[in-house]
Amino acid sequence: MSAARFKKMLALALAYLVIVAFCVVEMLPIYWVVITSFKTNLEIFGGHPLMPPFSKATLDNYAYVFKETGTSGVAVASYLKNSLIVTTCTIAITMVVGTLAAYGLARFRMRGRSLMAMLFLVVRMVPAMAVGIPVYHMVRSLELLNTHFALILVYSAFLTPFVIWMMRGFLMDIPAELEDSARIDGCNRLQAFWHVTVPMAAPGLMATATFTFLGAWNEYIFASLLTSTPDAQTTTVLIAGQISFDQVYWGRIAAIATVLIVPAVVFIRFMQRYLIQGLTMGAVKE
Amino acid sequence: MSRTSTNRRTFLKKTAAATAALTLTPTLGFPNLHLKPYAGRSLTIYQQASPIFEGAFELFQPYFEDLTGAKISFVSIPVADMGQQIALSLTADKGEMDLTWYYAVYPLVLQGLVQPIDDFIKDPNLTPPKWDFADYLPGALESGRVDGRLYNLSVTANALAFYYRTDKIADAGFVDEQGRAVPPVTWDDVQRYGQALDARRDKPLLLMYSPNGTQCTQIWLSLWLSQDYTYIWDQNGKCIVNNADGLVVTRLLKDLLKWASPTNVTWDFPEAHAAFQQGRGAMLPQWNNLGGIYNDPANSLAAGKLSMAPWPRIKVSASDAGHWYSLIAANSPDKELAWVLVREYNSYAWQKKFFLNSAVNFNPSRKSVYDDPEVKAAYPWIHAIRDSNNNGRGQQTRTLEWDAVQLVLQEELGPYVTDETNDAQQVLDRIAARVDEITRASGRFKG
Amino acid sequence: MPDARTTPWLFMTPSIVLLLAVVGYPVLLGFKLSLYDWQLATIGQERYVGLANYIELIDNERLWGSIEFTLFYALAAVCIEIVLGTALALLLNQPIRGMRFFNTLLLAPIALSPVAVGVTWKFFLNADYGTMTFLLQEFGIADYQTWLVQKSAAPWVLIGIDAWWSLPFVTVILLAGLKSLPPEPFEAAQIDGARSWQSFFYITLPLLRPVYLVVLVIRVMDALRVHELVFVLTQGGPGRSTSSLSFLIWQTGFKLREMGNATAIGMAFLVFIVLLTAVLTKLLDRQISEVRN
Repeated sequence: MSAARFKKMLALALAYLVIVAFCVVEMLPIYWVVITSFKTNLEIFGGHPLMPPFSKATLDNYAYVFKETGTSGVAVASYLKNSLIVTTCTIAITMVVGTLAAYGLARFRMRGRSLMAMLFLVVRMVPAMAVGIPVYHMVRSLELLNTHFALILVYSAFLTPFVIWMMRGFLMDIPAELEDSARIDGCNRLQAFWHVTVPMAAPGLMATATFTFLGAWNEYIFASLLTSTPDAQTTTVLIAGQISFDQVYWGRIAAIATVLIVPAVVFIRFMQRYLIQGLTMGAVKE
Repeated sequence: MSRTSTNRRTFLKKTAAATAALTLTPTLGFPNLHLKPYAGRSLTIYQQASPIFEGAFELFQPYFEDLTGAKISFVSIPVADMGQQIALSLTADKGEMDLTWYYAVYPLVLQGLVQPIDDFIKDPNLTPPKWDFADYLPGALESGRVDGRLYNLSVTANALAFYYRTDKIADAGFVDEQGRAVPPVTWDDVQRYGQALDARRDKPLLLMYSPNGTQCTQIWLSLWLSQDYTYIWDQNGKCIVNNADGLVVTRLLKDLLKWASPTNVTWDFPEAHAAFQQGRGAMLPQWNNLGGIYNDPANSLAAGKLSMAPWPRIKVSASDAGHWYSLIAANSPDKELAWVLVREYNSYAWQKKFFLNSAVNFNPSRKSVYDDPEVKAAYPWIHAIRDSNNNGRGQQTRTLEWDAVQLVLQEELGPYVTDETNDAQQVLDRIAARVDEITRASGRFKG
Repeated sequence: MPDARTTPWLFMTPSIVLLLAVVGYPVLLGFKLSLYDWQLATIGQERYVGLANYIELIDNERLWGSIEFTLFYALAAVCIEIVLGTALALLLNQPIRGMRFFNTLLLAPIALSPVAVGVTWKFFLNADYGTMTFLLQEFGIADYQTWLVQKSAAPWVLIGIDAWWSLPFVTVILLAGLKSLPPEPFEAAQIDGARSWQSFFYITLPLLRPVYLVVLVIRVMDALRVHELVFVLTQGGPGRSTSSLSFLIWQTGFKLREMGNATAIGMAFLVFIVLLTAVLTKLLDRQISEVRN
């Protein structure tokens, strides 16, 4: 008995050891980026790479990021603004459009239902670069290159299937009877959907919106193809371009990276409950 | 404000002969600029988002707006997106861009999207009759000539040159009678210096050899040009590098690594740049417009100990030259005004001012500026910039095929530099075969 | 009043319109453009060349190299992630205190933009100043590494970064799957004297099959489209050892200006992905309904 107990304890200790090590490995580069963003160039090249800068910490890198134009003419703040505008609008559009479709798929048994579900899934799988050039060509002939609108449109289209799949899962969990009783009380379908189903699906909506946020906020390929100046370009493109800059301002790049990373990580923290459903498009539940 | 008007006065004085034409020509162009013939007009310029251009034209903008009454607006574009943006504006019905500074002119010229400037030059109202073309660096002028027509007066001219640290070279004993450091003249010298310096301290040579970047191919190309070639293919499009000269160059490329730290194979432009600023090496083959940055005590430990030599020789001293062309859009409604602007910044006064005042040396395209006493006093290595620019051979990079060829060079030379393969002959044979394929496919050559 | 047959379609109309316009139309346009010889600067003067762009693909050395790398990358990354993820999930399937906290930490990489991941690792692996070099020296393993420029090492570096990025995702999902398994079969097996590896292979794996399948599909599809890591870290080099299909399309189209060729590669890639998705979703759909029931 005590041998089995010992074995159990050993396994548990090992589990703790592994999970701590695992977390260290996963967090190390992120931790490093964050502390680097508070260092001066001198500290970065001369100091201990994994030590926080303590008393020598500087906010210069962040001052650069949030200033309207930097020394090399790169208006970092305007890239952040673009990211925010595009992301917000994309969330708004995809959530409305996607949730409606998800409702249609979740509540009705009609011909072609599974085919539609599959078609939506196929769009989720399409690699952005495979269709990047024709999308570029289309946006160009509409004279929408380098506009927020083009990015919003494209992001919305490519993220909608994701919303549909995720919301379908949440909506299927809400009993249809509640809506039915609302309809008996005189609501029409849309009213019942709006007044009964949507409030009940609120957590799911929040979770889905979070993932839409991540999708749009982190997107690079379409942003790099469809935008070219600080008027519409997003932070991901800025950061990829900074790499080949004449001067290596690691601190600044780390600060931009931190600004890009932090909102995403914070969102994940709050949406942890729905994370797995989100990441697997509702196919697996926690 | 007062400085601006002094500039204008000197400018007008310098072109006194042309001013005489003022009374004869009632049209609005040169030199009636004091009548503000372009008031209310505006120019949109696409410029590279970098301190090089932004710094220089910050100075120029108020001067020009005051001079002509026209407004300039700049659109700063990351260099990676410039080609795409320029092509977009040039092919649009109503392009936004009137003028841009860019290095790849050839494809655009071939499609008739760039305005030739011969007519502007011939027009005495737009160009002073005494405009001295002989004063331009041959490359700065000739590289913009396609099928007999001139499309460009380069805004600035660069070539690869050889930076070195006077203190470290002198310490190693390479000095003249006065005890001043003597730079290497040939690549054999570079190796000799390398050996001597290497024995004393850190690896002395800083090289940009990353097979994931483009600088390694640029250095290899400049070594090849030093064997006194202008192209890597002949007029029939046949690649000619797989000969004895090519073998020497390719082996030299790798031999140089002996005097560089092994991590140099991971370096592209930014890494080498930073290393030199941090005082890590004694010698750096690099573009010749960075003296200002390297000599800035706030940013560089090499400051005060810096000098530059022309590109070391094999047979000749010739490196890859890169010009930033002034491209006037053929679809611009203000081509004439754009030319006035190009002409203005190509004046002696402005070429000098750019060079002395911008954060990065904006190398003059006019030869006489290099002999200016003020310029000479500010930059003791000015002769090295002049010589490397004068001897630079950059025709390769303006051909349509260059992007594809450079990628081939990158793919073939990379594994050789990183020791995946050691057979230089095989590397050259593969390069030759693949370049032949590219030139054949382009259909521009007879062979 | 719409009837029950049209109502669901009314709900779906906005998304169908959006997808047809922004995904469907470009796909059709893409097939058309792939039949033309065109460049960015010659838009409006495209030259019809029939299937020439596709025929050229057959002896395009770069394409075959890219296919090879992309498949290798996806396979290797996903295998590593699933094997390691399984091991970790089994080990962590114990009453660990603060699992919620660990989960939060572990899932942070998932929230990262691929570009941010690339940039972070680019600096982390810098041979002169990078933390990796520092760690190697600290532990006396080596003075420096030049992995990103070594033909044999660079693909593995990218695979490693992919694993770093996605392993937590795989682990957490498999762990959730494990925790949701009913205890009865395991108890029965224990009574029958089954060894733990036996109950893993004969009970755990079959029960977790649908979860594995979901993970597999999502990870394979995401790994096959890799672009940002390649773009930021290696630019497809050294040689062409890390040129993914997405990167090749970008390079052919925007660097070499062969838009027709690039579109043809894109369309071929698209067809491959759609077929693969169709096959996998057939499997997946069945499994999903099993998970859901």
